Amino acid sequence: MKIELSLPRTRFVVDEAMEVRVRLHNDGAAPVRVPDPFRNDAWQPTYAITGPAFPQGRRFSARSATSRDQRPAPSDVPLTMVELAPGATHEGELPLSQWCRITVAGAYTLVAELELAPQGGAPALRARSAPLAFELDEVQAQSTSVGLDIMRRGPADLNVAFVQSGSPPSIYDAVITESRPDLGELERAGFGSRRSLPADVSAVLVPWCSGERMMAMAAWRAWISAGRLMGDDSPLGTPAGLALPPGATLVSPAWQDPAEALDVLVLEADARRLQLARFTSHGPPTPPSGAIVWSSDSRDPIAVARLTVGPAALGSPRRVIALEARAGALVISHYAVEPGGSGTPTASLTLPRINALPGRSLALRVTPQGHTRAWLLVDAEEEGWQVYIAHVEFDASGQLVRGVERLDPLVVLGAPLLGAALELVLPESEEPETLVWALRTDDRRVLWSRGGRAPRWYKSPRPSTLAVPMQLCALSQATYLVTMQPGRAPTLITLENEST
Amino acid sequence: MSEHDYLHWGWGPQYLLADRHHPADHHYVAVAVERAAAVIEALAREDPTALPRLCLAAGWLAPEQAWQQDPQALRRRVIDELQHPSGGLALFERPRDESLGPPVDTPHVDDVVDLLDLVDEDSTWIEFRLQDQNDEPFPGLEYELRHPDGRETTGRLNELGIVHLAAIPAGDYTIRFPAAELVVLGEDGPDTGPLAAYGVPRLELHGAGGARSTGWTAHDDPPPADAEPDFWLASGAETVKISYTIEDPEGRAEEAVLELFVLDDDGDEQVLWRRELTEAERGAGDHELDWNGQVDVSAALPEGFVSVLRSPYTLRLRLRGHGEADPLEAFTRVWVDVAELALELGDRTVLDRELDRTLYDTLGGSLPTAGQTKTLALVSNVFKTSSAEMNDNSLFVEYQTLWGAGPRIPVFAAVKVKDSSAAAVLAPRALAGLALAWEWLDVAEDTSALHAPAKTYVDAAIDFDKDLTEPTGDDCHVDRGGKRGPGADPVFPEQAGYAPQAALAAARFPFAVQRHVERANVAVSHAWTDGVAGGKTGVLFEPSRMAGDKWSLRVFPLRDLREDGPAPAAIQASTGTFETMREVHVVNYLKKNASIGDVGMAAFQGYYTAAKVTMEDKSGGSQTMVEADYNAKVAAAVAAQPAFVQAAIDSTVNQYTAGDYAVHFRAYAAFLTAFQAAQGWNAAQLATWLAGGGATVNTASKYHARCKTWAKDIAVAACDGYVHADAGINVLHFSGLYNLETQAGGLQLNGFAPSFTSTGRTKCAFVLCPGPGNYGGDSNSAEQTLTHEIGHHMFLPHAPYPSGSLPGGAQATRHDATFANCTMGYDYTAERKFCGLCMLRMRGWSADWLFPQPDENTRP
Repeated sequence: MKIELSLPRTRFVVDEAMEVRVRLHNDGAAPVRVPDPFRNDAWQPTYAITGPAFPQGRRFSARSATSRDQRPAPSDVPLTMVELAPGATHEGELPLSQWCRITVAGAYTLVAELELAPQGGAPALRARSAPLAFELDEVQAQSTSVGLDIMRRGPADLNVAFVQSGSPPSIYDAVITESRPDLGELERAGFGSRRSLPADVSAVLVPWCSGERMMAMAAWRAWISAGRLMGDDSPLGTPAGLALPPGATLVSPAWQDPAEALDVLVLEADARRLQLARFTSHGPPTPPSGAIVWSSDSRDPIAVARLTVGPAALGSPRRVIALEARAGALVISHYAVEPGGSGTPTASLTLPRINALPGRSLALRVTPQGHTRAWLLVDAEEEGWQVYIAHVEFDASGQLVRGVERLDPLVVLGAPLLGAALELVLPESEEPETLVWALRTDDRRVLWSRGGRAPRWYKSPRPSTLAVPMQLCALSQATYLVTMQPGRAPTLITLENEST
Repeated sequence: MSEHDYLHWGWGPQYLLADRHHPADHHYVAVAVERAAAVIEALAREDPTALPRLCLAAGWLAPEQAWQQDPQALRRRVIDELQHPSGGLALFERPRDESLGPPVDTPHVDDVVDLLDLVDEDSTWIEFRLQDQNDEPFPGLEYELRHPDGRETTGRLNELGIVHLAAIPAGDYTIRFPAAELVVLGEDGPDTGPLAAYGVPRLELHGAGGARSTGWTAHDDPPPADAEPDFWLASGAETVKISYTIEDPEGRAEEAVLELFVLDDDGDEQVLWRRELTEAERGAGDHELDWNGQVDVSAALPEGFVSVLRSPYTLRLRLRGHGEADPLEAFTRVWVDVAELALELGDRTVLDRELDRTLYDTLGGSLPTAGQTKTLALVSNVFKTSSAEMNDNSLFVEYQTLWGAGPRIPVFAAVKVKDSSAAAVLAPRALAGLALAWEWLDVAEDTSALHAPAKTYVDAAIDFDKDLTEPTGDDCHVDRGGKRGPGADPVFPEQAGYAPQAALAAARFPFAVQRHVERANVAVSHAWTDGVAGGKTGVLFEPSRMAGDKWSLRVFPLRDLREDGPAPAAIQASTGTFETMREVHVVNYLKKNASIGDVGMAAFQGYYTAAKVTMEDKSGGSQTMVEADYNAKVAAAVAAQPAFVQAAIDSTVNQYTAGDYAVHFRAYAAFLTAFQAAQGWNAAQLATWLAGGGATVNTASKYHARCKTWAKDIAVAACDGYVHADAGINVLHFSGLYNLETQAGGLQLNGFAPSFTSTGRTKCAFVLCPGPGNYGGDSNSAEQTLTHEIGHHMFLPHAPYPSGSLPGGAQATRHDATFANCTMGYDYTAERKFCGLCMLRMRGWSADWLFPQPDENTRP
């Protein structure tokens, strides 16, 4: 009887999802009944791990790892046995990182042991695997991007990607699931390396999705490398590049539509022109194709812009709102973005003595009727940070149907504002949208509010900091914020639970 | 005559009617009140023009009125003015030696007054008197007067022994006193002969049961003002006899008046009722008049009945007639007083909120009696609708929104009055103006049943300005949302009330209620004197909504309110104890099948009872899902899922019979096959998907884990149809969530409390799904899970225990920092129970004023 352990590779990062392959092989001449290791109540075999996190070693079984029963041999818990004919194997994956959380980087060794006393005429069973060595590296995340699925109701997935520093750097993906939206409880459904990156890449975008992301074959990521916008539709394929004007930056969020196209809004270096890059997936190994499909007219310097994709029922229309700074005023422009279409705003309005806030201080949506509704956080042109919120609406033809009737004061900050975020929780019916805003005053502190509730402070515990740019994920019942901690994967914290 | 002198009369003149406040000159002295009436009677009789002239001079009447006035009415008015200090009129007299000169030393039988000496030739009137050597008059003495024209007339001297003839022609008059010629004068003066005494020697009240009031006459010393009551009248509810005797053999009585008066604060009489007896009623002999306490309607007695308000009353019978009666007056006293107060649950009709009516129906139609405790079960099916609401003060706000300032219970008091037989009877009329004081008291809480850490916490929290509030006590302080302490909403809110009527109006409180100006825990109400609630009054008892608060009420006449409650001897009534509890309903307990053992509902209820929350099981016990219905619900739920989830379900599998768990999934390989087929993909496309959108299910282990999420989604969607129509908690019980939860990567779940489509603020649901092996090795149990998850619905966040593995979203500030085994934590090393802070929050206390360290909650 032999037990063999294997991993797909030998280097991982801390917290990465690791599945160890277990192979039971009857190398004897007689049938053998062995405990099925792929059942959670299996208290045999056991596994012993040693390494920096467990200098004395730690032994666990499937049962001890998945229940509170830590007894080594609970006689009242029957083992589920499988019979292996001579030469037969029984194999599968075990969720090692789920069963044994390892939070310290370093070299580790894992051994599986099977040891059963004689039972009911069956002989004793004893087997021990060869040690399986692997190494965990610290996470060194340079940036984080979270993609939301805006059409998803109820428990949602948060698709996270970050750039892990290294030689070369690499993209790591994670899927965070709301296990209890009512409690704001999250659990990790996946976390692993996606692909290596050129050394000049420091940030990656995960698009927001206006369809059912899990149905898609494409899982887009985008980044800038060597002056090119790269679109990557699958870890199995090859990214495609698209030349960008020098110094251009990506406007978050990018979007993946139900047809699995990726749209990325690009702001030129002088901030006077927006471009829309679109990538189409053809399935690996064929690389995706991409092109600039739309450009705006040259404008006054654009402080904040945001792209959104409307309902599929309306043909997934793209809309852009841009906030331009013009002679002490703020100009709000609305664009109906169509490939090859006009770069002239469909409508604009000017707010005097108002400044845009840095960050993602603009939220917008396209309603089922095709209207574009936008909200923006602004700063009155007075001393200090007096933050207001404004609302505008454009009809399906892009004409202004609701101007800024008033500026609603939110808060006066006593500390410098470093960044703002504004997001919407979309209603399921005709109810008003829920607004969630956050104002960041330093690396660790943010004042936030949801649905008009009294603002509360979140202060991230040391040594964690807020991710830059600040990303606010407003889901149906809870609000999440991305934080970073040296050596650990980026973490989403539940603002409702962590604020004072 | 000064401007303040209205009328001179008699020689000198002898009498002067003048403004009381501008005394006459020093020659005059005030006439005693007792004599004044007789003087005025004589004046009116002798000179019919005198009183009209007085009224003119005093400016009381216009000329045309003065001469048309009823002489009797004028006389009464003048006498009233003289007898009451408040009147502006006073009667003065000049001492006789100054008015008549030296007195006649000895009257002689042939004493003839030379009228020439008396007549003023310029006047048209004459007045003369006869008196003895002691200056005593001869009232009633017959005289004969010869006029200048030779006529002779006869008459009798008045009470003062005076004759005043006005408007007579000038001339010689001769007067004789024939009777005086026939008598032998004694020391006391002449015998008045045929003028037999008359008077009212007896006045009493007789009750039907034989009670008699004490009477007295002017000859007697009146009983002291604080004499023990000896005759009560249930005014308007019984009829007694006014019994009196008039002695008047010669029919001298010309007028008899019954008067009812009270003494005001200055000890002066305030006449509240006057009734002239008829000629028959004032005839000589014993008389009885029926009387039920009815009097004239006046400001003092607006109901027209004697009432408790002015009691005791003195009834007086006064005679006036020819000569002064003796005894002139007789008196007796009658009391109207509260005999008994009885508290009762008021009429349901008056309540205007449905939730109050629901509460009312739980009270069994009565208030708690002494020594008894009744629960005010405040139905409050309010649940969180977002995670944020566990961490802020939403529970307080939502409970406040539901119950406002508290439940409203109509508490009525039947006020009975003593009747003449000392029995307590309803006599609404007698209650006019009676103010009753309603006082609420804070009944101390007994925390001895709490587990030790909770007791420590709760004891500390309720020790909050205990001795500084009015009343003192430990009910929830106003700072925490309660009603004890300054500025709190009233426990007896003010009511406008409405006039008595034949039926109570719906949704309107009938009795006027005012707050007491000085006592925060006292209100004042008045009884209806008529109508369907005649003889009753009440308050709308509105205790705080805070569960655990205990109250008792008492009512007593306001006049008996003392510093520390009612005077010891006060008539009063008290309730037993009201204890507020929250009541939350378990409306539905549904198991997948009968083989699943029932969760211990009693244990679950016990945890909440300690927090003053009654988890009322209205489910009727566990029910089981029906196979066909369940399968249909699951099928519908699956059909609404994305294609990859649908592929994980084998539609040919009977979801109901597949197991006791909620959802049965395909094995991983079968899932991949099914999904690939459903999508029409080749192997490469499937591989691409598993690297792309399907990355979270690209191994069996991941699939097994992912199925947990899908199972929850399907279970929630399928079970939404099981959510009961009524507000409350739905418990949906499975044994296991899904078939693959025991496979590698699969995740077992004891339960979860999601938001269903059909749940919301008033409804919640909980899926209890521990697999057969989920519990064991520690103190966790299905009952604990149920209690914990419902705790989340009840706005409670996780407790920060165990500290080494904090539950998600744990809120240290929302839990007792000294108790690690709060129900809301995950420390299973000991039985978990709610910490004190959780308990007080669930009671309804504001979380803003509850702190983790127990002693932080004490003041001062």
